[in-house]
Amino acid sequence: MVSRRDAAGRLVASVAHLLPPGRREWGAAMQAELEAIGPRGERWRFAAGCVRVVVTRPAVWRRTGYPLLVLALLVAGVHTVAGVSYGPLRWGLVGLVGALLLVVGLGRVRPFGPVAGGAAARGLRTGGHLLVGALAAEAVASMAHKTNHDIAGVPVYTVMFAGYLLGLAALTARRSPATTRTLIIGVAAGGVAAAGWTVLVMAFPPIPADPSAAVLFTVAGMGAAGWVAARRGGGAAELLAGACAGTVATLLILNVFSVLVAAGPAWLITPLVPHALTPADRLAGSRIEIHDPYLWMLLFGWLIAVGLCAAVVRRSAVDGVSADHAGPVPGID
Amino acid sequence: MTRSRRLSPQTIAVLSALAADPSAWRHGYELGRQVGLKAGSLYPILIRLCDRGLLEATWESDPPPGRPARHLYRLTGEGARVAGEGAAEEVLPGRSRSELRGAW
Repeated sequence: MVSRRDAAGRLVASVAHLLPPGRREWGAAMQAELEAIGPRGERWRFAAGCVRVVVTRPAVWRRTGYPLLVLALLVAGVHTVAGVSYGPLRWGLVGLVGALLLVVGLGRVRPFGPVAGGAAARGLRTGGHLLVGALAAEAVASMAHKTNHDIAGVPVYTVMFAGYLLGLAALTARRSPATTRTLIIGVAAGGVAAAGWTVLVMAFPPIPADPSAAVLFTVAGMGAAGWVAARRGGGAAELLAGACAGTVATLLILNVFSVLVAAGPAWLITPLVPHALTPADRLAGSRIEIHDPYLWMLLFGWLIAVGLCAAVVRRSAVDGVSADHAGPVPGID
Repeated sequence: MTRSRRLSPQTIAVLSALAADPSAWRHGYELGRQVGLKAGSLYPILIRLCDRGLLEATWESDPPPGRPARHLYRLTGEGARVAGEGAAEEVLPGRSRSELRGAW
């Protein structure tokens, strides 16, 4: 294509590259139309309209927002840990953030991606990433403010959060055997389980110092999801819905737990540091110490997520031929 | 269940302009000037109409030297029918809002 290549032409040519492959012809149409417009002011008005068309398309946002978000998170993570004076911990935390972003990137390629087209899959993947991201951010911030040189938490958290991300990505991938119904049942049951635990904690404070109640609510949610899904979906749906509910419930409970422990009133916090000098020190220490037992809850959910990931990936491999033949969904990539 | 969607006044204006001479191929800039729509409003309408099968598009076959071929548009038979039935009253059967959003 012959191009006038003034600034307006370069602008339209640049934004046209953002269009999904199935829509590139429209970008070429706008460029060609612009080439036929003479007056400078009119060219700029037309170019501005073309830019508006491209940048307001949801598919373009999905296409560009993903790498931009990853970059922003990487910058935020590096900024957070920049003040850590102990080198191994600082670089370990940078590695943790980088590894998790790499895992998020895996969600675009098989067998973890691309994400399925429905709102349920997209919503679950987005929501799950936000929940894992919130927990990871809290863990990074907590370790960044440590005064000792203990870096054992870095690989542990990396593996834990990566497991959750992979489980969610596999479950919501286009090749996943999980149907929209299965996902909705799993998310609903997980949400109800987490809400049940939250109501229990608020009604009968303080937050228990062990995660037994959280585990019980999660297991109940898994059972309910499996039972509902099995009524019309069979064994695979039962397994997937149950595991989905377990993963969602765990992530929700841990996020609620983190918020309540960090910002909740004193009556919610179990006194775990009886020998502190002042009540304020006792409360502050208890807010820190109560996290330790809930690492078992994190491990419990991780086992569910990793099992879910393995089951989905194995099932996807079995069904791979038919899924491959389904072809891409226009506008989704 | 079939859902319907009422056409916007801008879409009706584009359909009416094209229906004035259904056999003629029109290019976007000229069409936009005729109906008073800027590119930011016109192209989404053209894209949706193409997706619905109301509009067909082709590339200019013999552009002047030094200028690339432009995209040209005209109504399909279905598009002419919709425009001719009175676009102001027209409710399009077919795709749901989510499907139309998904097209992008």
